[in-house]
Amino acid sequence: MGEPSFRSGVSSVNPYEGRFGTSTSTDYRGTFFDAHPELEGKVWVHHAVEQQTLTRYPGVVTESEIHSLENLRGIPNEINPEVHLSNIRKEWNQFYRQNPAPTQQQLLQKATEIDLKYGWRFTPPVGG
Amino acid sequence: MKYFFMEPEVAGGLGKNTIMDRSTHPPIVSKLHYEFDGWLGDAILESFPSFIVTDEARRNLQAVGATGAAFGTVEITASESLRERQPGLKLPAFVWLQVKGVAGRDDFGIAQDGRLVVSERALDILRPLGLSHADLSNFGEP
Repeated sequence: MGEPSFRSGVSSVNPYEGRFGTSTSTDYRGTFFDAHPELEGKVWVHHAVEQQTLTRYPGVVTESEIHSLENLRGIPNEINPEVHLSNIRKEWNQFYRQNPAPTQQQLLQKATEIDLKYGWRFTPPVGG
Repeated sequence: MKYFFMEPEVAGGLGKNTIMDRSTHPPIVSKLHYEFDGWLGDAILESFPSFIVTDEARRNLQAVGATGAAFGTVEITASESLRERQPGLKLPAFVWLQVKGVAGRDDFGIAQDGRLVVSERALDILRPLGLSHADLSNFGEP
């Protein structure tokens, strides 16, 4: 997330990019709340790259990557209906319509685009 | 008759029991499993390439002889998150809306870009049953 880098006296900021980690558990809510126990009951845990990509695009992403902490977002309960249930799901639905066979990188690019658009409203915020 | 592009509410996604042929696009679904992860209350829902409607909507659409639509069985489940957060949630009965019509001619059709196209008549049926979260834009009058 936006670590400054310096080269030849010129500073730049690395652009934000969503990414996967690995998880040994499919209990993604447990994974998220282990990392952010103070948020339990306050946020809806959402997969940045949606879980259903496992069904839609078999072999592109693993279950371990999908449920990794790096792919989980906390959406405050009070904005979940508007942000998660409506806007984000529709964005992914359009992506599925337009992308018959995306690569893992393309899935992450879409997740990044969504993070940059809505991530400032997540808890904790993401997207730089 | 007026026709509209419709992007319905997306209340979840394709569940793991969905069977589809991905060798074509849009993929051909032979068994539909829709997993809810929340529901804002609309009577027609999408998870590309499939649509579902409440059974009440089906009855009303069939009563007026809506064209371009067939109906089938859908397996409905609630996600783990939804079950934990809203344990008392009762979903109405839903059926699979299989769109087989021609966009701009039938009450239900699919445009070249894959979006759903519905007639004004179909909208008039669906609106009173819940359509607050669908995006609509003009398809034009052929």
